[in-house]
Amino acid sequence: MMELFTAWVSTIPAFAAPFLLATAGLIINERAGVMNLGAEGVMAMAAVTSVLMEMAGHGTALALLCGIGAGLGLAAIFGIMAVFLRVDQVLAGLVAFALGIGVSGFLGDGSENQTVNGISPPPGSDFAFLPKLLAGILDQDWLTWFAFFAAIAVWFIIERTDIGLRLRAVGEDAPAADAAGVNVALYRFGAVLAGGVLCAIAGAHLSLVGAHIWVDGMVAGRGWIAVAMVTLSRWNALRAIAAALLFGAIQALVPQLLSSGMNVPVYFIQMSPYLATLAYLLIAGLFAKGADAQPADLGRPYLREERR
Amino acid sequence: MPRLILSPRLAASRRFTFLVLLGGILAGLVVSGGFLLTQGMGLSDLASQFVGYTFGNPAGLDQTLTRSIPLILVGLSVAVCLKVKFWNIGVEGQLWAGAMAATAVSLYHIGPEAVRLWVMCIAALLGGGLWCGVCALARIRLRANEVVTTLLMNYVAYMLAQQLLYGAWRNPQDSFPVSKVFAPGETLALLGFGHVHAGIFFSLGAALFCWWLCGFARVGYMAKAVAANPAAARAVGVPAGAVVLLMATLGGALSGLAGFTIVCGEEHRLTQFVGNDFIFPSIVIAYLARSNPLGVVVAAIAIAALYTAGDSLKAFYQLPGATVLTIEAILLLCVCCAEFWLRYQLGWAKSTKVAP
Amino acid sequence: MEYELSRIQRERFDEISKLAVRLAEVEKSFGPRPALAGANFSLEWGEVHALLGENGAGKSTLMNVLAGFYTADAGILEVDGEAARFETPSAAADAGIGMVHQHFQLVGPLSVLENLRLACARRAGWRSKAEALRAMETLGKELGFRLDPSARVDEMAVSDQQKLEIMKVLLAGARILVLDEPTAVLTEQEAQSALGLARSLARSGRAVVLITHKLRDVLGFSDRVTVMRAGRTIIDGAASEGMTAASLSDAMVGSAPVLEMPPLADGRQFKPDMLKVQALSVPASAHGVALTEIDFAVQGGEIFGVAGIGGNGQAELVEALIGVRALTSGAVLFDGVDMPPSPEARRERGLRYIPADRMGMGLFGELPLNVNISLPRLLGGGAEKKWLVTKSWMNGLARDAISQFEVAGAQVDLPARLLSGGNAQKLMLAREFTGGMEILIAHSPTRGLDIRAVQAVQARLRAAAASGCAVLLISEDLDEIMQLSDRVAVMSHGRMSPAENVAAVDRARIGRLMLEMH
Repeated sequence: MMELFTAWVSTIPAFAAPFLLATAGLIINERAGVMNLGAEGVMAMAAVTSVLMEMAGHGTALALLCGIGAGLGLAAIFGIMAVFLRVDQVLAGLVAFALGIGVSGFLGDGSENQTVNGISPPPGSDFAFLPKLLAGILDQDWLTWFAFFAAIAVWFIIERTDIGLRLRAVGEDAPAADAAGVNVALYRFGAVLAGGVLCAIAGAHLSLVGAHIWVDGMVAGRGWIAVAMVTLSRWNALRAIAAALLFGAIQALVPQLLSSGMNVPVYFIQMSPYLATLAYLLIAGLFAKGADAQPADLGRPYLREERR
Repeated sequence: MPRLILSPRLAASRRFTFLVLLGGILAGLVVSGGFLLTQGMGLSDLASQFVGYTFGNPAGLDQTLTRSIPLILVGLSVAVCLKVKFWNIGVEGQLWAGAMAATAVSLYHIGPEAVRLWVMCIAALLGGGLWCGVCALARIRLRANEVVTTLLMNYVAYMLAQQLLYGAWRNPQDSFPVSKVFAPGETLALLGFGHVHAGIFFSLGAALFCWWLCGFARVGYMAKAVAANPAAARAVGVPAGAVVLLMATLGGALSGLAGFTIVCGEEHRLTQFVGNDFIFPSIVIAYLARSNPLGVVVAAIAIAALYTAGDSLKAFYQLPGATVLTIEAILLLCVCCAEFWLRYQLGWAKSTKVAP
Repeated sequence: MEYELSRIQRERFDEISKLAVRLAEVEKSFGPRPALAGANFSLEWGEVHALLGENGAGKSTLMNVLAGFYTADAGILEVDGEAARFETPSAAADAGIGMVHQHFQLVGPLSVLENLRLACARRAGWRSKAEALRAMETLGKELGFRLDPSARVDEMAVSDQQKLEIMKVLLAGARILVLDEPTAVLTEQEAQSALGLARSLARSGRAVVLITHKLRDVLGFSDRVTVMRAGRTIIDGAASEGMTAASLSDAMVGSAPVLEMPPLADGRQFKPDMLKVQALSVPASAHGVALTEIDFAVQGGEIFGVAGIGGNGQAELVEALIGVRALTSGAVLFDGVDMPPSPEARRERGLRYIPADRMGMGLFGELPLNVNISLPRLLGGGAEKKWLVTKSWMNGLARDAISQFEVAGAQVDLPARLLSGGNAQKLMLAREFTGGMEILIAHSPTRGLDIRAVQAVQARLRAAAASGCAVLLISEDLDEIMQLSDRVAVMSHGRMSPAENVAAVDRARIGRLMLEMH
């Protein structure tokens, strides 16, 4: 039992990292007032591109960079639609989702299920001097570590810097931000790109760290979950760490349970984080908390000539 | 100093609107066609696949029509919800809920056998309606964003269905994760043209009903008012919350009905895959039809034809399964970008200032 | 009087070097309607200058020209003795002009310090948060108050938000301050301290313009006063000291009405207490006014006028009457019976409503005229069409309405937002004046309309009363109230004065009630 527990806990960070990266990216988007439903597509683009590049023998670092580039391209298409062409953000996000999933299917066609080296934790434990459980948790690959530092960095930039201040102003009250001299469109587009980078790294993490292969449909809804996790973490990247650990823990638990042969309602367990998020939304609404945390101008295109 | 500025267009004439949308669709088709050409298809292949096979060939037409039955319903579902500016991203969850409700009626022998099919139909409507209605209620009462709630409800329904299929509803004969096959009286009759079943009457009937509801019933006009100006609607005396709840519940019920047509018309049991890949097509269909219920029928058949063509492309040209999704995305992308010109215009800035 | 004014003007002209701002013969039109028709204004360094006038007199427009939000069509603008023309607010800010608008331009969920950093960092040259904090505390000391730098702005009192706006403008380098109705949203004590602040700012060498319509602000706190009416300057920079409440309110509201209307027929039957409001109280919403113990009754067949400066509770009263705002206490009776709570039920009982904000609360801009006209007839148990609403039925109604109410340039399928103000209001009337109207609430029904449309709307209101309807006319235009009403009451600070017969009422006294009553 203890072994099962240790095995479970030590896999949680790697399961949580893609959620965390994507959620942190979407938090940047939404704090600037842009809801991006295309995260799933961005993740798929990055996942397939990085695997293909590594298969072509370009080395993991370059593969990761190319993955980021591919995700960024899709995020830019979304950004142009949502910010400059003022297409409804829900619609633009769905287009980005479908385009990403579709094009990644084409790119990866014929290259599925081929193992790449990807990124693995360093061989042998760096933390062997620590208790086994703790060492297991800390023995992660560098991209997983990066995810947690990135979340902290996102929190710091949004809450503590001038750029973050303008970003929040744009998301909360675009007309007032405009009156204060902030270029609303520029900040929103920048936020879409920055968020796209993090979502792309999340996708690359899935293929390079998690699976070491590309399979069509391997993002498996994690981009959508990230959209919901933004709400669960109340638009705060530090809380997103807790939310990602929750979803990661449940996802990490399922293979352990299945391999242990225990007879448990696996799908009910997998359902629980969704129900928890829904319950959170409803409870937050009951106490009018959700309205506080949600950026007031989320989803609202801004054009000076259309002032409210 | 003159500079280029973007300003809202005061009004677009009907002719201009039509031309812009047509232009968007044509651009989407050209880009999609070009994309397929780069994948090693010839022009004549494109024509034979997309026009010849999907409509000119009985097998293709059969597949297209059968596929269009649930697509019409989910398209209507999104369209009806959009009438009150409610984004229904949860048609799959509602479809699962409807399919599960109908299956439950069959498995637990609810209601007299003579009208069992109708009980299953009503159960599916209720299941789907409930699945979307709670999200509408959460938006009205608790200001919960419906994009997130309807999205999450997809997963809840999917997980619930899988749990049932691996648990209580697992087929006792072969232990596959599918439910028992429905009794003959619990399925929709075939119409003698391939796989096309009586569900098509449900789809077309639903489209007619929605056409009446949105264009000729009082609630349709109330919905227009709520969408156009909620404050004025309330001041005039439109019960705005009730209208949103009603339209969203109806939308959910239509998706539930789609689940009913799949389990009773195509699969004749609940399988693991009845509710997959409907979210994006439903949005594309509703959007291309501009939320017009009769337009939804046309758009759904067109998208169904795209799926038929996609299947044969997969078989004969080894194109990946993502082909259809990619083409849908390109189409929607082009139409969205074209619509930009309906709402805005570019012009040179004059030195007038706007009020704060 | 006339002679004295021009003498003062001549003196000011000689002292032009002392002037912070001079605006002369400024004209500005929005569409066909002139908002400014040759307005003059001069501001000296070191003074608090009150700019007085009714709503729509052009005060805010003139100051928006000064602060770069509008550019004038014609006229002279000089700042500190030099000719200037501001294309943007930022250009005006560079010249040291800052305006605090009635609707604050603050980002609510951000903190005090964050708002200051957002708006002023570039102009003030702050490189760090600490620097911003220091500047804020230094200024706070000078001004004699302290705001919590980490407080969330939307959780602060309105008076503190105002202080923050003033700090924002000062930290951005303003030496000429324009305060747009700074006391409108404040309690008495808060208003006193805000006005005191304005005064001390002026004494420190800055120049302060106080846009207001409160005599107290002028007589107690300003050095000079300019009064505007209908886009023109009536009193140009007279010393406040010599002014009396009577002279100011006369200049502000003018004398006799321009246009006499024929009296309504004598044989009118008045039906008592058609609409009766008893001790109605409503809590204040954010930036709103609370209603306290409002009592009045409107008879069938009369027009009951409610005068008052906008923002004194009129919107809240209307919303409570039509049923979209909850009461804390009191009752609304219709013909002796309690009004049902929901707006739809009240409508069915014969309540009709013309909102002040036509496009916001009345019409559906995106929907065609035929839907706008027929929508109310589709509601409630008495709906005329239950199962089949046809285009031809709607078009018929719309065509009738268009011809009967003379809506110019209208086709039945035209989106309502494309109508001009006057025609939109006629459409509004056409929709509300449908069968079964027993009580009509008209809130600023002629605001922003040209003279012909004004007359058409006013004639409709009188016709409604003549046909036995109880008409509640709420307007900021005193001329209109005096012209149309049978009885008059005045709203101020969420309270209503006792109603008086219009024949017996003294116009100047109504003016003072509007301006002074608390």
